[in-house]
Amino acid sequence: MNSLHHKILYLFLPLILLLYSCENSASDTGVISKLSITEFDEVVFVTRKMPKDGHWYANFGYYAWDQNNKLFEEGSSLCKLNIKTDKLEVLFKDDKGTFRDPQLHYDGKKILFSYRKGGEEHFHLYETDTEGSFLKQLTSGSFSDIEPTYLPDDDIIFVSTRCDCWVNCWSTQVATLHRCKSDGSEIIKLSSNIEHDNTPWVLSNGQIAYTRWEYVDRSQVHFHHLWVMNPDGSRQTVLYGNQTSVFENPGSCLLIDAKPVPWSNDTILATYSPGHGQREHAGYPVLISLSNGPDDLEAMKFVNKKKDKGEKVYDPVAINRDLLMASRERALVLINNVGVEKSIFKLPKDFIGGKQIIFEPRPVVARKREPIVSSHLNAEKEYGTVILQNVYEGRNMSGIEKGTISDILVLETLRKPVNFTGGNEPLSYTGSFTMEKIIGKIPVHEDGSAHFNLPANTPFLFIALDEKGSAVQKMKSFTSVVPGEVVSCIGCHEKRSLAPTNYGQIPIAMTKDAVFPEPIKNIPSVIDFPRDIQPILDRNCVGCHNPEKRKGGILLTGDRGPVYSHSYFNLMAHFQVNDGLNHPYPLNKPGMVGDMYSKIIKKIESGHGNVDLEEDEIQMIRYWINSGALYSGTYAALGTGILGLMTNNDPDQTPVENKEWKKATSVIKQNCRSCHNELMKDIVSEDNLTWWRSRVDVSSGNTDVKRYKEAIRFSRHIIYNLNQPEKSTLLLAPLAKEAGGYGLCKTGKTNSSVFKTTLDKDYVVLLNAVTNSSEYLNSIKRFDMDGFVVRPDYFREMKKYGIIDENTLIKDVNPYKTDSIYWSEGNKKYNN
Amino acid sequence: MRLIKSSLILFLGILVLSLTSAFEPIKNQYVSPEHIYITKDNGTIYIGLSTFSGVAVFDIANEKITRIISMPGAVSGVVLDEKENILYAGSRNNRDQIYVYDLINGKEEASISIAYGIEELVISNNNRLLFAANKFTNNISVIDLENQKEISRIEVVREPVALSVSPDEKMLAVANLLPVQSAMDKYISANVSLIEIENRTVVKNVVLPNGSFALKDILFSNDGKFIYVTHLIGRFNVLTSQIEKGWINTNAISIIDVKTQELYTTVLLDDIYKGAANPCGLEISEDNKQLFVAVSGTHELFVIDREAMHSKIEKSKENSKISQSVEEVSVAKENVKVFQKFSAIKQMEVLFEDIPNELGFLASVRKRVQLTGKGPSRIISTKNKVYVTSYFSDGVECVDLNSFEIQFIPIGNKDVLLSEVRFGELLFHDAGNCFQHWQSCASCHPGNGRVDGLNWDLLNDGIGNPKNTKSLLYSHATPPTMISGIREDGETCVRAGFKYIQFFDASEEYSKAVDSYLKSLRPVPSPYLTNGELSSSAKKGKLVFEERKCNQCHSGNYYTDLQKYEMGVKGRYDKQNVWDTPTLIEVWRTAPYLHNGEYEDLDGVFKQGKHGLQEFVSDIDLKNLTEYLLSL
Repeated sequence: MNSLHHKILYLFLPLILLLYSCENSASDTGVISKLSITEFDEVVFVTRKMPKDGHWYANFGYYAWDQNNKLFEEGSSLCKLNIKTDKLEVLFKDDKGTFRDPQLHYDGKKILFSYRKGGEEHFHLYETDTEGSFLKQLTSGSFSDIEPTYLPDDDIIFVSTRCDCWVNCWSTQVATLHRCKSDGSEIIKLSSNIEHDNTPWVLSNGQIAYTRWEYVDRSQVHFHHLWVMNPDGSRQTVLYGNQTSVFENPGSCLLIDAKPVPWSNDTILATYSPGHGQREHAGYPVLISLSNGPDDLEAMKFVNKKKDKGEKVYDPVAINRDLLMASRERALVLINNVGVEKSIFKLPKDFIGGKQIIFEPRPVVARKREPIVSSHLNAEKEYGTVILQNVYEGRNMSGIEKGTISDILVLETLRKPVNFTGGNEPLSYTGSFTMEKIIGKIPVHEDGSAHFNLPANTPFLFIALDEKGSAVQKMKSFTSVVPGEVVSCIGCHEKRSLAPTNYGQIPIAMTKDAVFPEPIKNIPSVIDFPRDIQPILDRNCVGCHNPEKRKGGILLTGDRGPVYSHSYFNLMAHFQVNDGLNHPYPLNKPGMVGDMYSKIIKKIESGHGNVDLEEDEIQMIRYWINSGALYSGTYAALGTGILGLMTNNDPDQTPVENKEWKKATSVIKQNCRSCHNELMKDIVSEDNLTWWRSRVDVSSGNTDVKRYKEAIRFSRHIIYNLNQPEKSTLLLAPLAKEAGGYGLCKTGKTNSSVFKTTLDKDYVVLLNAVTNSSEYLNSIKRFDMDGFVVRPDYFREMKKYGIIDENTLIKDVNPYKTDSIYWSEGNKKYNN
Repeated sequence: MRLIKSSLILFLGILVLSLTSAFEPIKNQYVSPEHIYITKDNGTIYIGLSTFSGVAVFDIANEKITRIISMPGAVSGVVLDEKENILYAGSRNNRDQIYVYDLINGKEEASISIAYGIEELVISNNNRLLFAANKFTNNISVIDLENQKEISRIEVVREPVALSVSPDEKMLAVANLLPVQSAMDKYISANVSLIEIENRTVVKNVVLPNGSFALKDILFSNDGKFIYVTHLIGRFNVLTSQIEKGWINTNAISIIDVKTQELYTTVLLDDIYKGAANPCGLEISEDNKQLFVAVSGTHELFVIDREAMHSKIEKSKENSKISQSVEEVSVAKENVKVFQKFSAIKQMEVLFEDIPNELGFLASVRKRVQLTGKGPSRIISTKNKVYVTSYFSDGVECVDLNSFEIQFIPIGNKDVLLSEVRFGELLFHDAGNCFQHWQSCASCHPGNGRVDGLNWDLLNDGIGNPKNTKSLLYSHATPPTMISGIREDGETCVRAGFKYIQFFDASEEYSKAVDSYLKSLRPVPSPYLTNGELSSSAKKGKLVFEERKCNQCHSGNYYTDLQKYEMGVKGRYDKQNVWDTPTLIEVWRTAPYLHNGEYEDLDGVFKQGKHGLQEFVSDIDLKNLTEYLLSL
């Protein structure tokens, strides 16, 4: 080049540089260019179709009620794109299969991903290179293995259905965290969750960030936020969220796909997927600073600072401080630090058959390995050890005098082998979705300390009990230990950011040997209302609260309604039991959840109606309430013995699709509605109250108390008596006293009872309908009825888990025994 | 003439420039810069080199080391007189000497003899006094600057390591490294001694939160209202089963209210997911707005908005009031009201009384600046920059307070391959090798692998039996290790320490380096020796030692026969009563004594503990025996 050229170049150099910097900086000015990306040139992503189910997690496997009804879509590809040249390479495609969750190795050369081969049922883990020159299958079996990521020691952490359980409030399978060697061997289970654990990523300190979904005596649609564990499964702790108050302002959300950002050790990038989470994690990128702890709402910043947060995206990753990359439908988009977006690539509309969406874009770039966290796991032990420093410390423990708490009650939150609906029936009436097993008690020393061993890899929760056995405080989350782990906590609901106090001496419990929970004598580990509670009511309560006397308008007999027994429904619907409802408040004042202030206990203690219960009867009721106040003591009850059974969220109309009910419906319409408005319809319709959260609505003020009280008085759960149809309130209330009825319903003009005698033709119509329903129930059988046979889906899944052997006939399955084996074996499966 | 003058200036300029550029980083020897002094015009920094015989001079304008002032030995504290003509430097080798260097004449003038163990120097110009912290004699030397003579010694608590003079020069604050009390006490704390300069008396030993130790630096705020002191809080009442959530050591700044002479509060430097191991140097900006902390274990500079920190503390007092008022609200017992919200305090709000336990308290008011070197020690600041001595990297880090860009200025040769011993020393102090960076080996073994004065419940011999931290001096030479003898040897201990205390799987290379460092530790000569010899009392005590057959167990070069013995009465938490015989070398600095640290001095060991002396011993024999032991 001659000197003139040089001079010209120098002359224009500042201008060129200026232009270049304008074009290439993704600064606050909103100018975005893919050319500014210096970190990488290539991106790997998958394309697939949008799954049909609306839940964020429901995109593999099948619906419980129909094994042939699959949740995944067919037709998918794994691609590599050069973002600078727009050159798109299809590394793999499968017209009938599905690709998902690609992850680059630390060397930036290998790709780990999940793939369901066309014609196959399950997703497995595979590896290839960035050229797609080989395809190596790592895992196999009749499980779906998804969302893998490399660990710094080259092992792989992934999410799998190997946990053998189902979503507690939907008809799909659960997948949780597992770990394997780099070749897919030596699989161990890391999480003990009974709900989904998703999207593991390694944080810069070597720990694993992931999304844990849990209910545990709270609600089913609110708590799916961020947790952290060591790569050996130990130290499972909240990372961000899990307290409602944090999410009151922006509303409930799923926080998922949390991953480190390259510029900071204490900031993570996650997807805020609104509400109960959106299909395929659609949501808004949020940056969360971890340094203020899990409860700081201010720590979460929407990248797009606009009020509407822009359009939702999928699977954002941080490129640098200024730029994120994500996908939206067919486009790959860049988003800068003020939320300005630019689409940098668009998939052809007809790409591999069309309807393809880009998911999980990952930069092809090498990255630094995180430190390896030392594992203190001892595989020879079957338990871990917990040290509680001082039970009186913690949020909402003030006012509890030292010495009040005598024991810690250990409960296990029980995995579900199958599930069919989004509701809580028939396990509870608008309460828990999950059964709890009473494991035993641990003594608490006078300084509030306790030292105990727990079986490994099992989800436990604790209740602080006073001397009477009353629940002072209930843990509304779960914890678990890995074999040999020694884990310590300060107190109850301790603030995450507090270090332990030096009280001046070591906790007394530390000077004693660790104890195992002491089983409770004369209390079954899982309480079954008809078996364990009803006999107590029969002895003490039904003398007044029977269909004849019906004192206070309350029935406490064990007669069956369409879903529950009358006694169970009444105790729950009339708030006699503080079961924790299905409510999203994580922290409560002492005693607020459990027996302590439950009205039924107050009635017993105050001698209501001169009742005088034996101490062991009172204890049984306390334990029933404290373990969630459930109706059935077996999960085999799910999807069985119900009139108006919900399959997914639609009630089954079969019980009323007959002439008896057609007539009865019209009688009800003509005779009852003039006074009782829309309250009554038929035996499968849910009485104008939300079918899964009626009590929550009234307790939180969403439903008018008066309306609620009316509704539960005329609820289908109480007016139909399927044991003794003629004792149905539906029949007795309008029947004249002289004819053996209550004489409550009078006709307008004559002020006489609606039915003067049992010969009234409308009376007969109604009786026939209830009798028809009674016969229907007898034919389908409820869990507490003689001749009950488990549902084929329950039978199928239990066989799949190896709990029921191939030779056993469905009619011979004992549900209680089968559940019990399933819980104990399930926790041991894939253990270290 | 003008031409000549200008030429001369130019010549001198070139000369200065050439001289300046002539400085070459020191090779073949570690210099370990530590203490630091800045001239009043903010023009020059003097840096004490703690493993090299010299003081480095740093020119701020040119951001260069201009020269090394040669000293007779390695240096601890450095300070200049009022006119900044004389440099005083504490001697690290002859720990009872202060070097006096005339900066005008460029030569060492004299040295001042003081008490033993000099660690830091400060000056009070109004009072014409120089103070020296004497780590090993537990006192402060007061030197009259007029005649450069030590005129008195003020006894403080234990191992004074840092000093600060109040802005009005009426008070001297002293940071004592360690507590002096039985490790079985319910409340254990190293103290801050407050000395009235005028009458040279300790007016108050301020007690810090329970578990406070390893005080490293101390500083008055520029308005004289507060004293800041860096230290650790050992959570010694709980076992060492986990490190996250501040379960073993937390790292803190205590704030003392000067007016009341009471502890105001203590803030933790640690974040919830990342510790700030072993805070050391402190500095406050000229405008009193920023507080700087050198975090030696994580190699960071903390820039704290001092005013915002104080506002946050005051706000927490309001939170405490609100929280108390909420607690008075009666519990709603009606079911419908069960789920009403009950506290006006958000779950993340901090209550005043919780601050000393609140991880991440400073997160919103401070910036963590990762330095380029290892082992930041002391800090000084100008308007725009902060200078931090980098102990293991042999240089000074210059941090721009606007851009937070860092310039590393080498004094020694930074890139030289570390010897195994030096590498081991670095690892010993480096919390980068600890899960979430909460602590390093040096946290529980401050003062080059010695003691922290606390009892710890390690899991190696079961739970619920805490034992006193042992000095690591000669631990490799005197197996087995741990006072219980549960570990076979020093090597096993080092590896277990990494795994079980730092939750880190160290490579064999790392462990070997730490072995080498620990093996290289040599005893500091006892301050009880007279001219390096046993005093006459100690000589008599030696005879008692032999007569009473103390040397049966405490035999040989290391005063231990390497055997375990059953030892009389079981302590409160003991699950065993058989203990390894420890070395007696440096026993003068390893209090408290016995396996559970029950006795704060040897008197207690013999009189109450009846250790090894079942038969009557006269008071005079006991005094002589103690004198002998303290001389080892």
